[in-house]
Amino acid sequence: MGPLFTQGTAADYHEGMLLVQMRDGGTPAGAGAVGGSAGKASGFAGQFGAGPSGGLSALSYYERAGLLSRVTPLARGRARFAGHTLVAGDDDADGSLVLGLADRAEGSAAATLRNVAGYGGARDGAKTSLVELARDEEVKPLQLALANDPNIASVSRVPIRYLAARPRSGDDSTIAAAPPPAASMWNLRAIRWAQARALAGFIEADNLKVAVLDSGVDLGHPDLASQVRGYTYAHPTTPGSSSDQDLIGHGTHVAGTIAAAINNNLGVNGICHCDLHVWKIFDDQPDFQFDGASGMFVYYVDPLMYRRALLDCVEENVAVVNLSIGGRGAPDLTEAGAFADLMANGTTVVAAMGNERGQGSPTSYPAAIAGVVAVGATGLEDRVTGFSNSGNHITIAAPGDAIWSTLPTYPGQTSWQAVQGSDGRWRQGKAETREVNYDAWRGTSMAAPHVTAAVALLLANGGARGPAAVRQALIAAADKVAGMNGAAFHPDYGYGRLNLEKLLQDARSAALGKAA
Amino acid sequence: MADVFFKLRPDLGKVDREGVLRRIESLPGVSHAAPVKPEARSPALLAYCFARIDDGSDAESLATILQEMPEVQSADTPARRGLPNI
Repeated sequence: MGPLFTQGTAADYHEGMLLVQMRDGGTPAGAGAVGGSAGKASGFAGQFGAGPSGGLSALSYYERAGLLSRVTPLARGRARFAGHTLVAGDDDADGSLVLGLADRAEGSAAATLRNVAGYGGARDGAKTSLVELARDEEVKPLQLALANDPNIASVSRVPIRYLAARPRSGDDSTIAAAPPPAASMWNLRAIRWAQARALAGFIEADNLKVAVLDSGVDLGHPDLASQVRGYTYAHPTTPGSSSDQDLIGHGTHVAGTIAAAINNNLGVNGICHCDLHVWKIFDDQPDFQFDGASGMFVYYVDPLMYRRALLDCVEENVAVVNLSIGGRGAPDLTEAGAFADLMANGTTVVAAMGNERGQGSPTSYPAAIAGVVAVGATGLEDRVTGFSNSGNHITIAAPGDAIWSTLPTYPGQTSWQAVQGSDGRWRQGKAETREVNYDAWRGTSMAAPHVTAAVALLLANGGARGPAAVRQALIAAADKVAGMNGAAFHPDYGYGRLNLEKLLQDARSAALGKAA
Repeated sequence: MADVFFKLRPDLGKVDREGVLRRIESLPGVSHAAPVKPEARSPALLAYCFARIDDGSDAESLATILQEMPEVQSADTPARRGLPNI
């Protein structure tokens, strides 16, 4: 079984196409042109790195390798690359520009992109070109290389758009290529998010400090830029460090579910406004994992960054911590001690139950640490998903299937295939790349942040602080869903599925009763 | 490279704490020993420490040595944590 992230990406894209938007002005045509041409087309993107024009050099390589079909500026009247030649546009009627561009050593395709960089004034679309490749499998490596080029503002695949009545053809047929209208997100409907926010006297969680300890966050994401107030990814006083990049995208997805900007006519809606701080607890180097037959390179939590983040949360008096991580090993005394300190401080810790239902739901930590709010995942029909771990330590369930949220605006990967060399050593092979900007993912990792955000809103709206009180409030307000067969507790659902409206109603009623 | 995590007795003063860390750092195979959060204000948080060992050194053996030190309350190699898989 591969990692979580490879399965939720059922979005449909046009084969072999990329939209590339140049930065305003960009590097002058011809500058920094063309790297070497050695290497195979697939997986070579790293050769070009993040140099001054590594992405455009990659494009030139594709052109010389005959892998490029067309480069078409979206702006009318500009020169375009087609059929291995540069074709004059209406605005280049005398052909002089075409000759000037085509003469460059970097080739015609890159020149076509550069030609639109300073064009079109404020309209970004005028700086965008459609790049068409001969083979779809070349799209990802080229996308990675272009995304690293400082001359390029953005690069993305081209989603296919459907009529609303798209027929069901399989398990994931309901997942579209772009987020649904924010107002129609199924997960928010399931927890009665809109009704909760419409309650009289509703108070936003702006003053509640919420921590996400995860793979990082993309602070440049337009749906998160104004929402994340703190980001810790490196520590000058401890050895080893990490970049600010969320390579995996997991933390950006979790952060978006909690706090993506609400009703900003962009992407998705988060559940609350809060004082969101993100700690990156993964380093950037994947570790080799071998299952006895095959191997892969995956990212594991860096134990020092993780413990350091937990202690930061103790000292910074964080109200609620989200931990969408897991592992079968019981906590050592320092991990357990940090959790005890957090909870003694009044911090609520929310953790994912884990996604190994198919392997018998092994106990996963930190979800199974005493006092932690352990969250399982329900699907669109309000039933436990096929992956969500079952267990007597589960507290509550929340939506965790086909959850649309934010992803970094730059490419990244969730893991790498491992390839055994002739010397017997394993090396990183093809990357399991993820989408950019937005995608629908599934997992108890996606369910946990629903509860984390709900806890922040609970505390903002009069709920008593402290893990025991919060846990009791969540339990009392949860909906008993059909799969529980009338029981008060079920190892698949805990005490039921999160109901945000009832949670806040109860809190406000209790606060008013106390005041009276 | 691996880390062993340990907790010092919280009643140790600054001088004693630094002395113990220097002793641990001088053990063969240990490249660094320090508090997890060296700038922490609380002595309780300063008690959380780690020792980084060189490649080829045995983390379990170091944990056993640390457990036997009177200033050390507990010492362990960490359990692996990752992102939940499907």
